[in-house]
Amino acid sequence: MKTKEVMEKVIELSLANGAQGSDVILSEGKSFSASVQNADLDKYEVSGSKILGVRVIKDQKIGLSFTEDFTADSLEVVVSKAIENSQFSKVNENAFIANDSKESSSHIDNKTEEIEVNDLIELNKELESKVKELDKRVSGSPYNGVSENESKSHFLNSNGRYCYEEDYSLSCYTSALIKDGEKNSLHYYGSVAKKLSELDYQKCIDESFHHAKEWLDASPIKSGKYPVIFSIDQMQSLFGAFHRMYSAKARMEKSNPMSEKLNQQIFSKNLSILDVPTYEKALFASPFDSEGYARKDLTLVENGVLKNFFHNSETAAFFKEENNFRAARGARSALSVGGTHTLIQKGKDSEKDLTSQKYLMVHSMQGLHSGLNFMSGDFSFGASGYLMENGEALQAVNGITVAGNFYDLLNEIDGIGDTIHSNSSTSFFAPTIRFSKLTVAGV
Amino acid sequence: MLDKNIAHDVINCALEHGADFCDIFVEKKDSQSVSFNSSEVKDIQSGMNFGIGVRLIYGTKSLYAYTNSKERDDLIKLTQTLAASYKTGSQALMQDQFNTLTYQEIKSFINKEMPLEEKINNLKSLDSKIRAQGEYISQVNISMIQYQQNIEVFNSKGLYAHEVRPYCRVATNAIAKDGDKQCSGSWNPGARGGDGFLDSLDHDWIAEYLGKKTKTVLYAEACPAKTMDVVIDNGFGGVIFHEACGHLLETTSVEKKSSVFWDKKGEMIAHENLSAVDDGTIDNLWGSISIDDEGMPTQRTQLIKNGKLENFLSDTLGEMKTGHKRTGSARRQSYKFAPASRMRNTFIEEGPHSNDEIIQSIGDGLYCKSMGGGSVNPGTGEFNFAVEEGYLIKNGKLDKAVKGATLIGRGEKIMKNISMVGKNLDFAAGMCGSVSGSVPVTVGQPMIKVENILVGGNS
Repeated sequence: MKTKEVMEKVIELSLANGAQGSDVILSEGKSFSASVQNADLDKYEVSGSKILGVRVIKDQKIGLSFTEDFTADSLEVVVSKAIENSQFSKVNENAFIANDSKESSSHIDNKTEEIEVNDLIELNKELESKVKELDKRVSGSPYNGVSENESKSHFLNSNGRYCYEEDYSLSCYTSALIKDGEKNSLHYYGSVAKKLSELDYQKCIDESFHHAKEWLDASPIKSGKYPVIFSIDQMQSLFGAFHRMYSAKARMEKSNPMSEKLNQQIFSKNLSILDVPTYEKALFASPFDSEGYARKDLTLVENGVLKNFFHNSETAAFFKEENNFRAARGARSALSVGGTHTLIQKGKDSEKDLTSQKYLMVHSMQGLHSGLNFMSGDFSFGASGYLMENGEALQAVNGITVAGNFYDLLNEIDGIGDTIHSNSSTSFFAPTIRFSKLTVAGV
Repeated sequence: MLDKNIAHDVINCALEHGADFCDIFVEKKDSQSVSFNSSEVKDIQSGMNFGIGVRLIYGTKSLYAYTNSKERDDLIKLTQTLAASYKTGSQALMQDQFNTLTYQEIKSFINKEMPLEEKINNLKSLDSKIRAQGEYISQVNISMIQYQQNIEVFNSKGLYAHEVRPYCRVATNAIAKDGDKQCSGSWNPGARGGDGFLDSLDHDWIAEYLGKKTKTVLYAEACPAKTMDVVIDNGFGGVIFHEACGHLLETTSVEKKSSVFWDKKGEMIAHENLSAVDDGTIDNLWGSISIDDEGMPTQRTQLIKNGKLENFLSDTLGEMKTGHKRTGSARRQSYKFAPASRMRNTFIEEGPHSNDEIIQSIGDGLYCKSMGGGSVNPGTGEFNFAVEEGYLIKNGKLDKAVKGATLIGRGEKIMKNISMVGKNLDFAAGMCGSVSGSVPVTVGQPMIKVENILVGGNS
């Protein structure tokens, strides 16, 4: 059976088993990856897999199930499991299958050139050799690889709405491990692109080597409060760690500290944040949500006021607010909400003004998955970076922690830059932001 | 699961294309999860994963591919695709049939079949007991995941091995609120076992633990930021050894010489009071496996004895590249990952000190009652991990509660600073992420004292 026929069969079985409605997600992925060590191929992987997830609504209760086996028997089992599970779920008056008329939509961003595997492996050899050439103290590049990824995602519901997305990407990364006596230092950097010629492998080399070299002689700074600027990648990591604050689902589940703050001033008046699904500078576009609806730009925070939460059909119905089509669901997960690309609006401060006097530039943070409390906003992370003055590095810094409260931090902004920067995976776009103080533990 | 004749043909296809070694990993995983929110069932999901991974080794080079298909033609084509990337001669084909491995099976919690409705009632009971701790508990989230991982391993040395691994984990999270103050606390026990483990959970203990913990953190002050002596209590406190040392003893890190310990076997790398073990053979534990994902019976591996580095954790490739013998430590998240040397149940062994002796030995420090997760940079040994519930120590006695603390340091330095080791060894379940994905592991330790560690906090 063709992919869409499999999905139609699952929906047919769902309805035949008593479901009032059903939707199906089928994801397919193909990838190739390789890693070079000491100028020779060390690892080589190829993969192909697909998975189907079904959600049924029966007696206004939801049941979920997934399978990686597409035989006729397994398709019957996946439906019967979902139906069985629905019997034990709560009655959910806000759950429904998108009931628009039959619509099909697609977004295809597939590969535009044939890539020879050997070209990618040669690129990877070059990455390693060029990093090693830069300094005899570079003892290796323990993280050094390339990959090619293709993904396809299909959505079909029992009202006939069908949506198809296809994406393609190439990536490369490398690292520099520098050893000098008892001292050692490691840094890595990666690049993602649609074409081989667009992979910024020189930046991978430069970034990996530069920071590893600088941090070889790094030391902690004195404990205290410091003005801080995060590199764009670290800012993305920090904002990403608290991104659930925009979740209407978490708000519905009384697990969101911003639940009562809609239309209230929560951050500095200078801060405006948007979710931009099809931002032109982003590598990937996310034009449809996981219920098959087309997305538009969404203002999350405007001049410091919380303007919107991410909604899907269920959360919008629950709060009697407008659906802004941020449904997120994978084949093996329940319906949730999520954002796409983040855009922080630029301010009026020049880079020169922002980088005046002393401040801490944070280039690397560790422990983001564990060192924070989403409900309170408190965080404390290991960090590395540079003590800066007027844009010049005074000292490479490591062995410190930075700690604060995220929700307070966004009210303690000294300045917002007038130029938008992109993170390395082109999913987060923001100007330089100088925060007035973070607590640093050092010496 | 996979027809042995097909496995035989795939392996011979690899050998015909010159592979020095070939193994096939077959996995079928049946799972069920239930999540609770606001005292109601939020989601119930069932699932089935099935896939096959084929690995070819040429010298020390690893070629890996996976698929959802168990058809002969698909697997042969996959093998040929892999082999085409590494052109060489051919090896002698495998003539004999597979020999089935016999091994001592690690025990799991005695299974007790619980209908889904009974499981839900079990979780409802836990939910209501947590809420009963006080009105400050504003929300409770509970999820339970159970899965049975059924694996087969075939290899070109004629091995056939098979294991069924039952897993069960319950994640509890309570949110406490008082005016604008909010915080959350969690407790996430897991085990090798099925419904029997769910049935064994002590709901009263979990509820009281979460109630006290969230109430303490809700009103705690920010932790001071400075270097100090720290006491880390038992159980999940063992994450310090896992991050600061354990990852650096895996041959995945040793083979690249990126681990600071790669050439330190036989040397003192830790304080003489410290002995540590990685043991996959302990009954019922979340990180226990009867055989590893290369089909080798798992072992108890003494990592450090009285401060001296005794062994590394090794798999087939690790042994080829470093010479360190395999320890039954080859693990992977699923068929989508090639195996790598990974920890199982890793813990610091009991020492000579009482809890009172340890706390009384500190004039000005921090007592970490419960820990969050952490991470390590295997190239430099720099680690970090979070303190969920902590108290200052003043003149040998516990003082006020503090929140938001993180401990950071370098593995090779901190191992020498663990100067006192208690007698109350306990274990806790966690998930560990690394090159071969996320695998269930146990961390453990008795109470320990760490001298001069940097504590990050917001005060």
